Amino acid sequence: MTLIKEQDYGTPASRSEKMVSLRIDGRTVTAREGTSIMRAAAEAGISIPKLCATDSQNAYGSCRLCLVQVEGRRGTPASCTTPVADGMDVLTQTPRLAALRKGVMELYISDHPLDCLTCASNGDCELQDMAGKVGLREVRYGFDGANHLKAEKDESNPYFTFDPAKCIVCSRCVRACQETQGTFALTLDGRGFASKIAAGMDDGFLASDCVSCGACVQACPTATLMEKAVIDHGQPEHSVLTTCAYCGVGCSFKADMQGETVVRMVPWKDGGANEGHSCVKGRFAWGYATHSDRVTTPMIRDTIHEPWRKVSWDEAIGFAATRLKAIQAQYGKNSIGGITSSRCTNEEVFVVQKMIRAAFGNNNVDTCARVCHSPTGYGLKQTFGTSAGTQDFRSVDQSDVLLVIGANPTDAHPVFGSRMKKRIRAGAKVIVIDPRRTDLVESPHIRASHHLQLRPGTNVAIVNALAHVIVTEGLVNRAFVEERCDPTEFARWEGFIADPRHSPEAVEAITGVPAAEVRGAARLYATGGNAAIYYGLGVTEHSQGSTMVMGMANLAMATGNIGREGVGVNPLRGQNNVQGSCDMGSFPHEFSGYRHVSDDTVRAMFEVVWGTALDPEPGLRIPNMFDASIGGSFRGLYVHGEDIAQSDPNTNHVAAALEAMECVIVQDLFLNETANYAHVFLPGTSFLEKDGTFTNAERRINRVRPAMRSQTGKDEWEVTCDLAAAMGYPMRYDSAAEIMDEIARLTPTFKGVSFERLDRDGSLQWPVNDAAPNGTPLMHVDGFVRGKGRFMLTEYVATEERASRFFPLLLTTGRILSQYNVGTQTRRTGNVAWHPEDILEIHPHDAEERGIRDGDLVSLASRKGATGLRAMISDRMPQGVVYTTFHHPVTGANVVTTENSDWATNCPEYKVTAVQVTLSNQTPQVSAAE
Amino acid sequence: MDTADLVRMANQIAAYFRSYPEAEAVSEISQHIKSFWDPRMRQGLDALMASGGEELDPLVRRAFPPQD
Repeated sequence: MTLIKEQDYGTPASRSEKMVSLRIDGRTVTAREGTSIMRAAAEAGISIPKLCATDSQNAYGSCRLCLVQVEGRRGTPASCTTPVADGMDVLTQTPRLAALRKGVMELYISDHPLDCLTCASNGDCELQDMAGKVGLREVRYGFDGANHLKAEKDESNPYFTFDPAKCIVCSRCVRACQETQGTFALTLDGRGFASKIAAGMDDGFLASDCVSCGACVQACPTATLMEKAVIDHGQPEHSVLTTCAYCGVGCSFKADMQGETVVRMVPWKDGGANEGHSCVKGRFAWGYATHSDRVTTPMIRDTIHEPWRKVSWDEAIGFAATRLKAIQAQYGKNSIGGITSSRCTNEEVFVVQKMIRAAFGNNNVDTCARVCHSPTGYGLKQTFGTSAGTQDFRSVDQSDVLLVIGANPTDAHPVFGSRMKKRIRAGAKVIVIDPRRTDLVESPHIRASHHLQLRPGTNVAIVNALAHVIVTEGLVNRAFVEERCDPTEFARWEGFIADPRHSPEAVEAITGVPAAEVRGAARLYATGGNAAIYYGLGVTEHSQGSTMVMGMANLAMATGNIGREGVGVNPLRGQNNVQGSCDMGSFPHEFSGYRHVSDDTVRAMFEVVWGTALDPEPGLRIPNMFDASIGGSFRGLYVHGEDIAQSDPNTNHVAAALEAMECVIVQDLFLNETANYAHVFLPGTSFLEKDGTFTNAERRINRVRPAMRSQTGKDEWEVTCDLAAAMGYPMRYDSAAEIMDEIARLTPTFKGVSFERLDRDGSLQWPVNDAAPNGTPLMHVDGFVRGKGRFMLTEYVATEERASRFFPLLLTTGRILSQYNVGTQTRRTGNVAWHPEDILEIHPHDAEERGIRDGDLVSLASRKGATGLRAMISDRMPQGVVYTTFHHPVTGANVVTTENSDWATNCPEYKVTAVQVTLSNQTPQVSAAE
Repeated sequence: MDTADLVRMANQIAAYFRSYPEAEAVSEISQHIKSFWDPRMRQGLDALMASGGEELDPLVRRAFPPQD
């Protein structure tokens, strides 16, 4: 294994199809039109010295090191800003250029510390490299003049330092913040010799708007911006290519290692999902993997009131199997089940659902997608024929209009959020449908054309109003509908949606959104060019989540915005492998590849390969498992990498259900909240120990490779196999690759997938089959998976959860940038610097009515329960709506949420809870870095 | 299974399909519940119907007539 050092071509690649031919240093070179001389040279293997240029940013032309001579042209132009031209004759090495470059380097080094041997960047410093390259041997000006060597170091950020003494003011960090990340937190302050990089209003990185994505650190050519882990450990010696285990973007990273110690995680330039960018979680928040709270030994206990006993793997597996078998003997085959994890690999998920179906003998398997994107599965399957987003992330670069519904990508899917912002800055229009004023509504250089700030729970009324405008104003793409969609269903839908009850004016009283704004948004979506829908849990986590997904699909079909680049309907998946866990057959009614368990042909195929009879009836979904537990017919549960006691709604109900069970098995990294109710704890492995694959929101199957040995001594799939065997169903694999081979054999959309191919090709987007051997970046190009697109009727039905005199506000919950889901991982990292506790955001008017000031402690109460937390007054909230996160167990925000759920899938209605907020004198507990 | 939960879930399904012609709605409701509900939940629905099923939406009652 070696350290992966990607080549930096200096400037971005041109997308032109036209090629030009030129000579560089006497060699004939061909390059795409629009390519810089610097890049054309680099592509031909000719390296031109540079400092301010890097290929993730547009050319800047400030360092004057990359000068070249061009035959027939005057002067020495910068090769980074000069495009290639046909017939051009370029010289990159001449005595004149050498003298100029040496002079430039002398100036840089005259105001730079000469501490290379003790510098953290030693061996990985572009300034050092350039000094060597130009043959710098002396600095004629000396080192005693005015300089910046005593400038104060900023160490406020938990993960990196800023040492202005080492800064050459190349502005790569400022441009990374602007062009790559789009936050505009950094600036070049002052002029001439006084020029310096400033974060925010020069108040330090931590206090600034910096989101710690790490793009500036990555771009810095010196040790000015440097990872603290590298300062502590020194330079890495080898890299392992792997995939981030946080959100559904699924960024590719190089884990830069010293032995089995991670020194840093650096986003991989060739990663299909992230193309070299990262966020604070993936880039920096990986320390939980080796946190002292990790439990690496199996544990058991007879009752949940007893202390844990550490035992051997054999004893733990034997104990679990004996209990589960005893439960089945007493209560029947269907009295046990399990939950797969969207944080685990496809291979781990596949064997868990196989164990439940084949060893437990029932279909009581579900996954955490139940509580997030299960309506996506239902809605997109009904309308398009398959349960997945239609585009790859790259597609957004071709969008003219972005319709963002119930999603806050700059916080929850930050790397894709940055890509969206880049496209918006380049001219795309954005429409946001969200109760909150998110960053895509208004932030530096971003302003939405329309913000439909609707009341929580009224999504379907809005999507119907949008469709009503499109139909009644003659904006339907008739040619597309006639060619691609079912005419009977379309005719029925057209009549339904044209009814005046769906007009923007008719629903204004329901949604609170001015009709004119809705009409404007509908016209822009239908006529603004390529229009793409991106959505999140603000769509799905409603009693009409599935209806809303179908409503969005109707919009895309009616306007012909499906089947090419720049358009589509795209779920932004919450967890790293939500797509994969659904693909792998985690739902109680479906085998892998979304095929119903009652399908005799499909079931027979699995029965042959698995060598056992399988149940043709659907099993229990997660909320049904809880209900059945309280009802007495469900008594044993295996919970794989999931903290249902904190993440699922109506915590008291979940706790009662878990407490009623006779055997709860938790497999996780930490003793989470669910483990409080467990009888068996099986230690799990972090993503840094796993060998397998994750599938991201764009259906991209990416390799996850082990950077270190399993801290538990076993792979997670191996533990599952052991439990299945102890239950009486022998299940054995020699490697994760072998599991993928079985997945490919049994799942048509994965037919062409193998570890060998992924290792060779980098990543593949399913379906990968005979018709698409290299995968499918865009879905439904020539036709829908189901044949003709199906318009579905989407009547608005108000949720039963209503504000009242006693609970006059509506609570909606979500995620914040620095924390992830229930915080099990991020709370054990430096990320607590930004979000040490859950905060209640409340509109100034609602706060004033209650005598609440910013930072006050408040009680948040619903019909289901109450909790305490701190208030933050925010005009991002509309009046009547409050918002919080559920990252901290001490807050337990789900104590107040209800058991209401989506009609089709039972996905909980997290986004609408009637609450009251009052001043409190109780101190909420604050999580320190655990 | 809690009866109130079953009633709420079944009636929600009926509320969605109410937009469709009645015969189609009844068929879709029946199919949906057979496809996604565990047998014990369906048995709970049958038991509700056997005891009158007044809390259930008329479309659900048509989709799951009492067993003889």
